[in-house]
Amino acid sequence: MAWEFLTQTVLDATSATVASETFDAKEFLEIQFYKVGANVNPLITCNGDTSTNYARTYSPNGGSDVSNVNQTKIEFLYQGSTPTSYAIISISNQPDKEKMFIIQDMEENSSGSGTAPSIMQVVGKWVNTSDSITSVSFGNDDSGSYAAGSFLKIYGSS
Amino acid sequence: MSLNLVNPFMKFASGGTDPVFYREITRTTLGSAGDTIDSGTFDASKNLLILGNFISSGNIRPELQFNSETGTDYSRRGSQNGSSDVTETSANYIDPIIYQSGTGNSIYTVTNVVSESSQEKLSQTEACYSGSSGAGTAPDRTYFNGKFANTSDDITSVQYTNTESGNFDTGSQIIILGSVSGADTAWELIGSDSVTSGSTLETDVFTTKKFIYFQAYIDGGSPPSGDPYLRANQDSGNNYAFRGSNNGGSDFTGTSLTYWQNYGADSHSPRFIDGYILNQTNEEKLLVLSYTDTNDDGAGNAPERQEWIGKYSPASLSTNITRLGFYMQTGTFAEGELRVYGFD
Repeated sequence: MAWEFLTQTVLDATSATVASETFDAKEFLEIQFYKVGANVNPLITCNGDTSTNYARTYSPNGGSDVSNVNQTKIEFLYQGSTPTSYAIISISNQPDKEKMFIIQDMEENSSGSGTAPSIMQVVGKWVNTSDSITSVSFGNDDSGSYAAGSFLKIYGSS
Repeated sequence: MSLNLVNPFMKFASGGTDPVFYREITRTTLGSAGDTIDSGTFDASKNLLILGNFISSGNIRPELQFNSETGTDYSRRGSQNGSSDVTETSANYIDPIIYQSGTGNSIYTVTNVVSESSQEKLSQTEACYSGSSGAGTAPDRTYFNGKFANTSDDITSVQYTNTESGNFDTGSQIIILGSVSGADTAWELIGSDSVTSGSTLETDVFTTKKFIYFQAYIDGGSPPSGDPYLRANQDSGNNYAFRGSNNGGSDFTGTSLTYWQNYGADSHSPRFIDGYILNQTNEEKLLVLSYTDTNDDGAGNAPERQEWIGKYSPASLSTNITRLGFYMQTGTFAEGELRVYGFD
């Protein structure tokens, strides 16, 4: 029941997505997700499900909470234009329950120390109650592409 | 043409090149009071988790630097006690926003970092300030993101410098964890429980560990049964205090309570809790916690969130946490899963 490494994907060329291969089901997951590339807005989907089975609540840069329901993905970025961003994503992955996400996101904003980074604090859910998450994909609905060096690493514990 | 590179052999290597769920890379503990804690040089890791325990001898403000870089290469955005964000740019440090006053008080920081040599380094910190001793005083909290605008080097050392009038006291410590391969995870499973009924979800007594990480999944059934209490050591004395925010609202506080509680949340379920505890002997035990619940079922209902901190001030501070549990106020668990990890 200790934490174990499940899978990783590291881009060595530009890509429209950063997707995992299929991994073993675990009750708890942690994803380390690193985006390189401006104008990329990561969109999380699970097990290839792109139906309106997602919802989220978020606070951008400490502002008031905002909610979105009946979504086809979980978004978590404040600024798609940020050259890089990094997110720690904790997930409860009970197979017969809605899956819950806690996302701590940090964003470069514009380059240089003259610009403060951005913050997004996000929680999300995927309302599937019949399957464990065994694959994830980070898509994009902005004009850019994921650049080489983008990665995801997935760990699990049961 | 896009190319996703996955090395299938990496998954099955026995301790070879697999990333690790945070192994210890290095640590520094002060043997005498001072204004600097320096990790020394360590091997690079793209993912870092830095745990900081700063004990005050007078006022202290732990300011973060990397690679001993003292130029104006840092910026930061964040908030204290749930107030509006403040920013600082072209700074010499990543500033923690507030300082800890007094002597014998503690700051616990949990900092995630990504370090890619050719990119600016990004960090995110949640911090719990113990404040005056005793559960009658709520702790303070900060939440901030920082960046180090270096684009030519990996992070290979970490420095915390005190810029207030006091010192970091003896025993102050930083632990650097990373996902780079080379050793097993630092987080040893020390306790767990799984229930589908009853009003108690708790570990057995475990061997005390200084650093604790835990996760819980709690389903109170339908209709929901209310918010469960979180307690250490089955202690129901008035030894708990906390501070937090529910769905981005103004901070709530609770003092001299007989529990930690996700106070202010609706009694919806299921819920998911992710927390870190500094379990230092002869100090108050400090908690940093994130929370979400599903609200009502279905994608038409947005989830809820909380971020909060807490402290546990047992009758004797030499008492360490050796058990964690959730206890229903009313009703029973339909399902509960608790996992507790730790290391010294």
